Amino acid sequence: MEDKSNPRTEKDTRSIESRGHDLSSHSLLEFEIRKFKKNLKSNQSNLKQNDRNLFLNQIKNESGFIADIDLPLKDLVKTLDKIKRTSSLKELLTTLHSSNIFRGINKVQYLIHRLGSTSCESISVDDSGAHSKKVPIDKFNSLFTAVLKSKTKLFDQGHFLSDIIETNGYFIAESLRLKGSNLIILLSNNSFLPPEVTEFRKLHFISKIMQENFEAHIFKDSMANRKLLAHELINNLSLKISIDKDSTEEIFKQEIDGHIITIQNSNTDSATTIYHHERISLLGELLNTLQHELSNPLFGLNLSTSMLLMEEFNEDAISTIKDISSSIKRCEVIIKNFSHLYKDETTNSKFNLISLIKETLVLAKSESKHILKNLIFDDKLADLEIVSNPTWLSQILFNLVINSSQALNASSIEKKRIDIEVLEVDDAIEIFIKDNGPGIGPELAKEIFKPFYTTKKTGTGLGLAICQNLAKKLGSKLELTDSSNGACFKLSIPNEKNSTH
Amino acid sequence: MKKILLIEDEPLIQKSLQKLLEKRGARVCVESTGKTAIEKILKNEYDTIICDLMLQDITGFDVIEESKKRYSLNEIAVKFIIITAYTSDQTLQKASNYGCRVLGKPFDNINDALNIFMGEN
Repeated sequence: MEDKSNPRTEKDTRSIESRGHDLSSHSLLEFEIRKFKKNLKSNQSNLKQNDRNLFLNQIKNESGFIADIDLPLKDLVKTLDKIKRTSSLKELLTTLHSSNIFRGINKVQYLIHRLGSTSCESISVDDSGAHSKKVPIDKFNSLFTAVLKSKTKLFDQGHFLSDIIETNGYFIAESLRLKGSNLIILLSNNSFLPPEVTEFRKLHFISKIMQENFEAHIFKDSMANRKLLAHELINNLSLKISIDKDSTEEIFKQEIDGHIITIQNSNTDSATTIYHHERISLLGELLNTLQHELSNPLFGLNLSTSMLLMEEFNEDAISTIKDISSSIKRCEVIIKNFSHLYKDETTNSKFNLISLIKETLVLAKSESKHILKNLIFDDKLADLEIVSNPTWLSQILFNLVINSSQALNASSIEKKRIDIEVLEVDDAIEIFIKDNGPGIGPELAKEIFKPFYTTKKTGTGLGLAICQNLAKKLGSKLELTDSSNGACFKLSIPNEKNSTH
Repeated sequence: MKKILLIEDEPLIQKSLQKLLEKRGARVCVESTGKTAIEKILKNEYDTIICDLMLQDITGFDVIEESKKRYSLNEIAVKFIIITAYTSDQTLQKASNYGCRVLGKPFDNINDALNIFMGEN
C-alpha cells in the first residue's frame, strides 16, 4: 500500500481537494433534493397550487392582462395546462385559439422560420382550424424586420403590401427570436378599425406564454419535418428501398404521421427488391428510349410503304412491299409490348393472360431459340382476363422460362422443350412452367429460392428470389413441384372473376 | 386547292406524308423546325397545319402559342392537328385545352388519318 501511494503524493492531494469540492457540492444538491422531497411529501396539491399562484402572479405582474380580459383564473390555468400537453405545433395553436384568451380575435397568423431551412411555414388559425403553407424566405425576412423596427406594432394590411399576410385590415404583430427559429405573430379582427388596447395586451401575453411552449414544439416539428424529408428522399431514390409494414424482422422502426416505416434486417428481401428495381428501372429507361427513337423512323417506313402500294408495280414488287409493311407493323407491336411489359408500376390492371404469356415468350426468344415451347391451355381460357400486375407477372414467367432455357442449353438433351400450361381451378389460375432438362435435385430444391444462391458461373443468384418476392406481392404462390422429368414450377394466381367488387 | 403546312422533323415521314397528301390533291408545305414553321404561319395562309410535338428546337405547343399572335383560339382549334408518338394523358389533356385534334403515331389507319388531314370526314 505504502509503496504504491508514495510516488504520487502531489496527484493525491489534488484529487483529495477536488474530491472535497465534489463532496461539498454533492451535499448541497442532496440538501436541495431533500428539501424538494419534503415539500412534495408534505402536501402535493399545495405545492401545485403554490406553483400555479406563482405563475399567475408572474403573468399578472408582467402584463396586467388578467384584469383586462376578465378571464377566470381557473380557465386560464386550464388552458395553460392543455397547451403544455399538446403534441404538435398545429394542435397547440388550435387549442390556444379555441380558448378564451383569443376571445374577440378572428384570425391569428404565425410565420415560423426554422433557422437553416430554405423556406418558412405560415400557419393561420381561425374558427375553421389551422392551415399551413410555405412562404418564401425573403418575404418572411422583410416582414420580420419591419415588425421588429416598428414601435407601435400596429399595421394596416392595405399599406403593408405583402402577399404572405393572410389577415385583412388592421393587424398587430410581434417578431420573436426564439432558439433555433424566428417567429412572427399576427393578430387581427379582420376589421378595418384599429385594434383596442386590450388586444395589444393579448398579443404581449401570447408572445410571453408562447416563447417556452413554441420552442419545444418548433423543435419537435422540425424533427418531424426532417424525417418527412428523409422519407421523401428515400421514396425518390432511383434505387428503391423496401418498406414493409408486415415484416417481423425489423431493426429500425419509425413512425411518421401514422405511417410505420421499417427497414428490414433480413438482407434477403431488400437485396432482391433493390436488385429488381435497379434492373427494371434501367430496362424501362432503355426500352422507353428505344421506343421513342425507333417509333418515328418505323412510322416513316410505314407511311412510305403505304405510299408505294398506291403506285403501279408488278406483282413481285407489290408482294415485297407488303412483306416490308407487315414486318414494320410487327416491329411496332414488339416495341409497344416491350414498353408495356417493363413499366415499373405497382398498380393492378385488367389484361388478357394468354396474350401476356405469348408476349413474354417473345421476349425470351433469344435465350430459348432452339427450344420447342408449348403453350397449353383450354380454349375457354383464350379470352380470360385477370386483374393483377402484368409487369410483375411477366417478369416471373420470363425468369422461369429463361432459367429453364439455360438449364436445357447447358444439357445435352435432345428435343429440348418447355411446356407452359395454364389451368383454371376453383378460385385461382395455375401456370406450370415445365422443362425436360436435368431437373432440380431434392438437395438443391431447398436452396433455389434463397437469394445469392446460384449454380451458374455468371449468375447473381437473385432470379428466383426475385420471382418469389414478386409472386408474394401479387398475392400468389410460386413453388417447385414434383415432376417425373425435368423441373416444374407452379405459379398460382388468385382469380377473382366472380367477385363483384 | 387545300393548303397544308406539315411540321415534322423525321425525313421519311415528311416525304411520304407530303406525297400521300399531294396525291389527295393538297398543296403541302413542309417545315422541319418549329422556328421556321412559326415564320411561315405568321406570313402565309394555311387551311390546315399538321404539327408534330417533338421538334428539334421547340415543341409543337410552342408553335401553337406563337400562332396565337395571328389566329384566334377558335381558328387554332380548327386549323391545328397534332401528331405525336407521346400520347400520354398529360399530352392529350394539354392538346384538348387548345381544342385541337391529336393523332397518335403510328396512325391506326393511314386512310382515316389522311381523311382527317384533308378535312373529309
